Amino acid sequence: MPADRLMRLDHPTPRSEFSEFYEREFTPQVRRAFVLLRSNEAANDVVHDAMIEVLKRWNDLREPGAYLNRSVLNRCRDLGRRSVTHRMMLSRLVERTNWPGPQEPLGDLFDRLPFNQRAAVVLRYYSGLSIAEIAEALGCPRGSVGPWIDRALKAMKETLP
Amino acid sequence: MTAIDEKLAELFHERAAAARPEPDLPAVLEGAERVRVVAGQTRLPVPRYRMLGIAAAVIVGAAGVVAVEWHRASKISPGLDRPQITYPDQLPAAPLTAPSSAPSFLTLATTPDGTGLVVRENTHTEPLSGAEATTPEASPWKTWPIGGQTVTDIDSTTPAGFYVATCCAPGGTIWRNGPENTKGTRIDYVLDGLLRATVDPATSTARVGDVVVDEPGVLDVSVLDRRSAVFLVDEPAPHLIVLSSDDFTATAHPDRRTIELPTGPHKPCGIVALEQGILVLAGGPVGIDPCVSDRAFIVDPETGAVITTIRLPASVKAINSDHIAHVIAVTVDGNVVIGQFGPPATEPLWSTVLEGDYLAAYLRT
Repeated sequence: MPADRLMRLDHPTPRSEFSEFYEREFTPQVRRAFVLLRSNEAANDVVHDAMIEVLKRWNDLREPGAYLNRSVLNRCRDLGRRSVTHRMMLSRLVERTNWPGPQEPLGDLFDRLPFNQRAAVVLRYYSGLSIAEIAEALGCPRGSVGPWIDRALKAMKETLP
Repeated sequence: MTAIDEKLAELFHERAAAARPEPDLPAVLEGAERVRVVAGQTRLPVPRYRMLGIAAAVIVGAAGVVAVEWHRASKISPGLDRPQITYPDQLPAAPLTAPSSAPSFLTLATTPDGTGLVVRENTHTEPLSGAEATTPEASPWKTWPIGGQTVTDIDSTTPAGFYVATCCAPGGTIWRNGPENTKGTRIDYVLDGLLRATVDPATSTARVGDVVVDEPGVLDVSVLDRRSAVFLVDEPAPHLIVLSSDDFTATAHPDRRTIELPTGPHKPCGIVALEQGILVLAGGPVGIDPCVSDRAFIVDPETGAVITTIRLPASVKAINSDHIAHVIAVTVDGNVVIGQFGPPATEPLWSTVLEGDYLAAYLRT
C-alpha cells in the first residue's frame, strides 16, 4: 500500500480530495445507474446517497471508487426489490423523455432480466470492466459473473426476432 | 464483437446519453438527502424535511429507551422458567474428509514465535477435503508486534487489511493494519456497508458503527447484515440484543430487540451470524479464552426460536463465519476446522483444514 495512502487514513477527511473524487465520479455513476434504472430521479438519488456514504467512511476506505461502485449497485438492487406498486407509481412520476420505449425490443428484454444479470452485462459492455472487477463491484464470486452474462445474452438472443 | 454485443453497447450508450446528472456537492458535504418525489406529495423543503426526521428520531429514541428499560427489568429473568436446552449426544465424526465446498479465501493468524502476529492466506479454487487441504503461504507484510498479548479475534477490512483483537492489557485492544484502533476483544465486520461491531467486556461497551452502547455483561457480537448487529449479553441471564438501523452514525437511534436464550449447564458464550440464523456457542471461559465450547444451537433472529442444536467436532476457542453458510473455528489444540451448514438446518459438514498453533481464523469469500 502506498505510504501516502496510509497517512491519509489516519487524518480527518480532506474535503478537497473528496470534492475531486465527487467531480470525477458523479456523472459517470449517474449515467451507469440510469442505464440500469431508466429513471433520472432514481439514478441521481442512488448516486447522491452513495456519495454521502463514501464521505462518511472516507478515512476508512482504501479504494473509494470500488466502494462507490458497490454502494451504487446495491442501491440499484434495493430499488428493484421494492414493491410493484411503488415501481408503477414511480414510473408515472419520473420523467421519461428520451426513453427508448417499447419500440426498443432489446431494451425491454434487458429490463426484464434479473438484476445480477443486468448489472453484469452493463458493467461488461458499457463500463468495460473485467470479470474480476465485476465480481468485486457486485460482491460475488468471480465464477458467478460469466454464467450471469452468458444467461443474459442467451435469453436476449433467443427472444429477439 | 457479436451482433448482440454491438446492439447492447449501442443501447447502453443511447441510454447513458439520455441521463441527466444533477450534481450537488454542497448537499453531500452537508450530509443532506436529496428530496424524493413521493406519490401524492409535493416536495418538502429540505430543512423542514430534516426537522421532521430529527423530531421523529427523538420521539422514537425516547420511546426506545423507556421500552428497553422496561423490557430489561421485566422480561430478562434469570429464573428457572426459561426453557432448558439439550444437545445431541453424538459428537460429529471429526475430522471429516467428505468433500466440502470451500470458501474462496481462508485467512489465518498465528504467533509462531510468540512475539508477533503473522497473517496467512490461502486460496481454494477446488472443493477441498480434510486430508487434501493445502498449506497457506505466509504473508510477511502482516507481521506485527502485539505486545505479548494473545489474539482473541480477527476480521478483514476492505480490501486486504485486517482487524486484530487481543487480550488483555487490561481489557482488549483492537488493531487495524498495525496501529491500535479501539478497545475490545471481539470484532465482526461486513464489507457490505462497511459495518464494524466490537465489544469490550472490560468496560461493558458495545459498538456498532458509530453507535456506542453501555451494555453490562456483553460478551460477543456478530453483524447480521449492513443494517443490523446482534450482541450476546450474559446479565442478568443470557440473551441476545439485536440493534437495527439504516445508518449506524453517532446520532442514530437503532431499533432494539431482545431475544431470551434457553438455559442449561452450558452457558452461551459466543455468537456468529449465518444466513439461516445466529449460531450460539455454549461453554465458558478457560484462561484468557472467553469462550471454549463444544456445542452450539442456532437461533432464528426474527422469532427467537431455537432452530437446531449441534455438537462441534472439538472444543473450540475462537470461531468466525462468512455470514452465509460456513464457520471457521480454532480448536483448543490450535487446529483449524471449517463447518459447512445447510440449508436446510441439518448437521453441518466439518473438515479439518490445518493443524498447528493457530489462535484465530477468518473466512473471506
